[in-house]
Amino acid sequence: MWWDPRPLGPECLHAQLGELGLWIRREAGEVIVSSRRDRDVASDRLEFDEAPEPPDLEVRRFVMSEVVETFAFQPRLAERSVVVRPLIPVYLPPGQRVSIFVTTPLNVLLLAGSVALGERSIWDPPETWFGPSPVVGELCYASRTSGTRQRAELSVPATRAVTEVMLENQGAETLEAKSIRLPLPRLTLAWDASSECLVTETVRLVRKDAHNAELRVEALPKDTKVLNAPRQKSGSVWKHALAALWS
Amino acid sequence: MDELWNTLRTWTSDHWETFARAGLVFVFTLLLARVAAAAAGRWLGRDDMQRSILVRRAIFYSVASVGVLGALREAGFDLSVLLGAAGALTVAVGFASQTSASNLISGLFLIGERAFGVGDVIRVGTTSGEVLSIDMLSVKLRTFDNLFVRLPNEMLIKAELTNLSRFELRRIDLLLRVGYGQGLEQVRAILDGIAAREPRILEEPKPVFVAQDFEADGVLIKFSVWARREIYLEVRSELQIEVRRQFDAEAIAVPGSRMIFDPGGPGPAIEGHGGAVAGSEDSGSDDSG
Repeated sequence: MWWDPRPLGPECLHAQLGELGLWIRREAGEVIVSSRRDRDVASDRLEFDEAPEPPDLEVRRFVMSEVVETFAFQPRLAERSVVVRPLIPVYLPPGQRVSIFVTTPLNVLLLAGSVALGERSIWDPPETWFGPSPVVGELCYASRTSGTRQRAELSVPATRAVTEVMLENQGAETLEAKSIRLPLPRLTLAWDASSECLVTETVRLVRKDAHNAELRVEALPKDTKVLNAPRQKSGSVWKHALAALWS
Repeated sequence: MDELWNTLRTWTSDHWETFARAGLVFVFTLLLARVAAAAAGRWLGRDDMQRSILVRRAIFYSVASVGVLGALREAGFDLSVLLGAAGALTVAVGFASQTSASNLISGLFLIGERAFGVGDVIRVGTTSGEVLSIDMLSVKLRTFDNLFVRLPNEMLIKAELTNLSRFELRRIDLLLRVGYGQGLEQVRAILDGIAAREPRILEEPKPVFVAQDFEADGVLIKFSVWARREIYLEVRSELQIEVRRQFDAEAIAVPGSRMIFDPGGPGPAIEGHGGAVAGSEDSGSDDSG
């Protein structure tokens, strides 16, 4: 797996994770992490090799008391919720239930041996606000998706995680889902060997009535391997105002 | 002199136990006041510094006052006489210090109203800065050029006060003037493109483009975007630089700029009098919000 520890020798280790390029070099008593973000690079590109550092990088020196033999890039879900906007608005008539599959880009935790050197986002996420007004709401990342209904149709690059979102309209009126807030800090990141991609729990959004909604996080399938626990630990059901989940 | 010294020594030796007791009461209650105030501060935490400071001070001075009164009683003072004198003194001091009393009461209103707290960035009149403390008589600020400013509480109650730290988001308004020869749709597309490419500009609330006014030398445009409060100044500056760069690249004529003929270039270059950006609302505030 690409997140397994890699040997860090005298040569410079280069990792291209989407638009984020990282060059890791070991010196006496320190690890030098250089990086560059290149928006022209495809977001699904994933490469690891040994390459010298190009000029004009952002350089950080980490002073270590121990000799670092390995380096790992551990995938993590984003630290904020992501607002998913279908390219075409989705309308859900009363009594209907539908599943859509969305992918979200990952962050990576840089691990020198067992020492965490910090987290970097593979993407440069655009920020957005999710709420009924600029005063009430939550700062999130924005993501656009085609909102595929068939899991098999979805191509999931290694730099993204897939989440099944079940939408259920128990209200009396048709629901327009222009955007959905996906609470990534409350989700687990896991490896699904059967589909060979990174997944999270299924998120179930239930519209109860005109004003209230419920968010449920279903259990992960049994054959998945947990890579990261949720950042925010809480129960699996949250009752929200409708505007806190949908808009 | 010797006689006075002997009298004092005799009196002290007769009453040393009384003084020692009074001293012990005072020191003990002072320690108790410190411990109680610190415990209250720890219990309240650092989330609301203003409330924490207020409660700590109230506990410390209340317990210390009891200590002073207890020590005086132990030393043999008649507290009823002292309290009577204090009442008369209060009236006299009240008349003599009306401004201080006004500040004191204004301070209580300010604390009760909770319009701002310690650590917030506020603007009062022409002064902007970070609130260092809210005291009984005044509020202390640190301005962004690192000056210490003391504002009387009474002034804060009367003046218009803006809290720049209250909400998580801030709107950045750019005022631009473009010549009548330019297509507004092209200007709008450039501005929307700049906003879309900058990840720190929020997607929602959406950027707003308003053709605000027709002026003698061009159309006044207001372009508003939203960003996080912490990076407000940074984004505003970057946005203005990018607008200037894009307007130059697209040869958008800006009234007030001198057009020069550049025979080697693809189009007219602009030699600016400050460039494309005519100004930004709120540009006078030197805040980092």
